[in-house]
Amino acid sequence: MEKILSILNSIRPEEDFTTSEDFISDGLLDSFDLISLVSELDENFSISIDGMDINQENFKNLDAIKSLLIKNGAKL
Amino acid sequence: MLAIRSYKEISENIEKIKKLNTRFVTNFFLNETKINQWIEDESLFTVEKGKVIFIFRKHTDFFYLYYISTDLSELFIELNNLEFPEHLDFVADIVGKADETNQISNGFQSQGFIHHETLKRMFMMKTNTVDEKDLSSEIEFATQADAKPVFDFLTQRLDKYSEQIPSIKEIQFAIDNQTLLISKNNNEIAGLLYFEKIGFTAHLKEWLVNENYRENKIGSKLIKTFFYLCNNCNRFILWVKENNDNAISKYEHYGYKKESLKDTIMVKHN
Repeated sequence: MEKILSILNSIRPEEDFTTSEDFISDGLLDSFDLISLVSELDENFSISIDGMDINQENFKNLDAIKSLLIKNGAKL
Repeated sequence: MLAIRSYKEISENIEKIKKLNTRFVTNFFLNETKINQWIEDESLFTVEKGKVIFIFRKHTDFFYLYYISTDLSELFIELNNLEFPEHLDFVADIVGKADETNQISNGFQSQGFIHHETLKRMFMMKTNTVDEKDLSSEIEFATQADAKPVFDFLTQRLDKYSEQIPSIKEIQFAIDNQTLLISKNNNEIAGLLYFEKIGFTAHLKEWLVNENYRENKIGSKLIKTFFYLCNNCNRFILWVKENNDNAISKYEHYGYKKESLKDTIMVKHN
């Protein structure tokens, strides 16, 4: 989780990602950030997130991102 | 050009490109609500060229051009191979940090696009709230009868390529959601402010005062009402032309600060 949080904070340093259950609806991440986030997660976890998995639901909170990474073969 | 009929088709396109090269570059940002609106309006189309998927979005009398590509060299090769229909203009928004976008806009330039405008993003974190007693009764929510006059007001005054003028449908949607504020004198629009709220983020999209009413402080009354309606938001964003010093200082006066994100608008005239 620490690594995911640090990636999220590198994209949006001013936000607190630990208190939100829905980053998109709460406005912590916008559509520009999602593309950066996919690239950063791919690179940092040496995976390639399946294009079919790139939807807002899979990035809505820390648990969703963790599940997405595991599904795409990341070792957490 | 093939019509895009579902959000799933966009995901499938991204998947196709990612399978070729793991990474991908794109200017098509994933706002599901907006994309679904465009699909419903039947305004999204796609063309597949080698390792690049182009997406076209029809907007009044021109098309926005988006790309999903394995890398930039493939993008520029296929951009060169793309057949653009005659008599239509194409607009590409290149969004990112300055150092990332320069290379892309240069590539577009070498394929016949010309630099049209550059926008900067500004933001502020919430500092204080506005009281209801400070609001002006001259500002009201627009009604559906205002949709067409608002559209005309915006198209007569804004640059169609760079200022993301909302379609009549988008204006109607904003009216339903009470995110379009208006001030009228008899039947004339004296000023308006159009915004979007996404969770705790408030995006100021258009803020415009009729040149005949500049002395009436309509602008300040509009933005006060906007801040009041967004009292629960903690982040405020907007895009502004990077050389529009007047507008930038006005936004700075209200607490906005420049971000590193910019939008370089490239246009191909046919």
